[in-house]
Amino acid sequence: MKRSFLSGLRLSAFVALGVLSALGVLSGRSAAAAPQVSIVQPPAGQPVFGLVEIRAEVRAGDAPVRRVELYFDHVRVGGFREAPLYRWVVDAGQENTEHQIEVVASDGAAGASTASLTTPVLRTDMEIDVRLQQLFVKVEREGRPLTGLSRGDFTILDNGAPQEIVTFEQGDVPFTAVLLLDASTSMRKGRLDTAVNGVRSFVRAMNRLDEAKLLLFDDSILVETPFTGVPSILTLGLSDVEAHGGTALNDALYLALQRLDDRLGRKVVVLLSDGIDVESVLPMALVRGAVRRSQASLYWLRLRFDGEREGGPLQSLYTTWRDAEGHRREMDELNATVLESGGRVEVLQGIEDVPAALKRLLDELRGQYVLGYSPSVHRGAGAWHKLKLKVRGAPGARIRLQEGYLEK
Amino acid sequence: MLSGPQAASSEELAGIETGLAEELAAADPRSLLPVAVLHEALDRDALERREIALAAHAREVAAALAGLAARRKGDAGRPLATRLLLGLAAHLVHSLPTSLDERTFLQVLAYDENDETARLFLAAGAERAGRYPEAAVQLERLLKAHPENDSENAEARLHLAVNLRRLGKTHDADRLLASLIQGPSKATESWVLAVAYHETGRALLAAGRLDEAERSLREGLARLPGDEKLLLELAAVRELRHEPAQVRQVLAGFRPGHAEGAGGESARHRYTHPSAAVLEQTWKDLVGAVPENLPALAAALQRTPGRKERNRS
Repeated sequence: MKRSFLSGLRLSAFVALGVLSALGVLSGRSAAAAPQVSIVQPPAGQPVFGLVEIRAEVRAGDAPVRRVELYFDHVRVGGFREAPLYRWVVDAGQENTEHQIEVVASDGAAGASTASLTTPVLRTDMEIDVRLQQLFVKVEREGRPLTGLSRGDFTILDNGAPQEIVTFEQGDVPFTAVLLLDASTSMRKGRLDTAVNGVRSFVRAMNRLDEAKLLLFDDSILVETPFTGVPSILTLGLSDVEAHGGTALNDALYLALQRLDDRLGRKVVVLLSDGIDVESVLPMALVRGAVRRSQASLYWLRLRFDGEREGGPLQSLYTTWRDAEGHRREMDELNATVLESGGRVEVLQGIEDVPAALKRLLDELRGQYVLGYSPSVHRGAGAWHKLKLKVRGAPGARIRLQEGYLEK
Repeated sequence: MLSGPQAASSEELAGIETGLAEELAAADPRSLLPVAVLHEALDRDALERREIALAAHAREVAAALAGLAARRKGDAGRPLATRLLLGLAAHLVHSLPTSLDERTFLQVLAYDENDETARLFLAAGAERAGRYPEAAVQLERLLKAHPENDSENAEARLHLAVNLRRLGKTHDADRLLASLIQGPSKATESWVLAVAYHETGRALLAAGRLDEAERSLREGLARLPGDEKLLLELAAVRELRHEPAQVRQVLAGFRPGHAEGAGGESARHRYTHPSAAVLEQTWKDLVGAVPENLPALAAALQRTPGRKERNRS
């Protein structure tokens, strides 16, 4: 048995040598230079997802390059017969996995060369924290927007720690707004119509990428539109609405903030009301927490309420659900919440001032700086981050931004 | 007669009118009703036209006529006086200032201390003015006078619960709210039930008892599906637990237009404004009774001593 095994092995070796000789592998032709191929894109070590551009450089050897082919995960994608630049786009999918890239160049004479690249998986310790904190900053000097500042002029302090500004924009950054319109009894006698007309003008003046939602409320929510940039959708059905009922401002504001919660980018709530909450179930202190978390900017166009006098307008205001002290406390909390959010309160002399006030607001939103940074310190959900912003080279400038935010 | 260079004072004029009415009532007691209704109607019209002096005068005389009715001998006097005053209050409860009806209701209680409508409106007025101890006293008296009428007094018990909590009597407030929630649901109007759940939720949220709040609010939503305030309070529970995704999930089910009170108004707004239906009905009944009492008035006018002077004038 052993003898016959060795005889068979010798026979196999003989046959193999014969075949190799016939193919020229053992002949002098193996000295000719084959094409040289290398993968230049993606770079080595880079995980790939989605559509990926693959580029290869091929240098001819002794013979002209006849064909260059790409194999992605061992599947032939395509080839070129002649091209100065070899480029493909493949879909790598969204799975975090390795991918095998091979480019084979052949000249039909000296043979073929192959360049290979294995893209790595994205390791968890390589994940980048992309939780971008955005600040919407208004810089004014002598009542006018101060433009022309650059990224280097700003220093952000998050809980006292300087932050690296990674994004910087100024001007028409798109926003998402909730227009919160009081339709209670205090808006009777044409006041609601005037306010609605102001809202129409505001929506018509929005930019293409801006979106808004209208929430109409009295002691409950009367109308809620979807987020849209189409004016006719936002004001659909408003012509039938009559002002009546009490006021549940806190509840409506809370709902507005929740509707903005999963929206990205700049978030704005525009409140048009006298601000006297009567029938809400939620206290403004809780709403303030929601504002801090949502990081929406609140703008309160405050209408004077019936019988309001200069100096202590709330001293004699009693309603069934709140006494004068309760109303004063709620109003103070609302004021503080608005200012803390980086917005402002504008007291209107009359309902006829609404359209102009809304236009001013739109102009203001368009003149803001938008600074983005990735907070260097995380303290856990619900932790308060106090913000401070310094601006260099702008003496006398007035800076307005949110006072802080609650970590999510 | 109340304005111009030779105007009489309201007091003088009221004295003359009341004196005459007294003569008429002495001749035939049924003559009082049309005269009183005339003055109450005058008050309504004058208030609407913002003729404040005329309205006040007409109201003064109407109240005096009710007093006359109350002083009549027999069993019919005080009930008529009460009816006249409740009819007068029917429009006063909608007028400004909101305290305009208070004097009228106090006068009702002087003639019938167990009148539920007057007590409830007085309590609501005191509550609106921030006089919570006074509101609680009125409501306790109402419930003491009508202990048998639990379902009809649900509104009073709800107001009492809210005011007791303001006065620091949280245990009593909780007990009252629980009795409203646990009572037979058919006997309790839905808006009362809704506010009872709202206030229970508010109290538990304020105390930080989030698990209990959630249980109560979910129970409320099972009985009052889609109730806006209950959804908001449930969202607030999640807010206080720092669960933003859960907050959004709770409010995703919210749709506008779920006002749960009677007549399309919200429950909390209904709480603010006690129903004036009893008052309106009383007023309609009074107006309806005028024609049948006019012959008595005509006859009384013929029999009173001042007839000749009146004919001359």
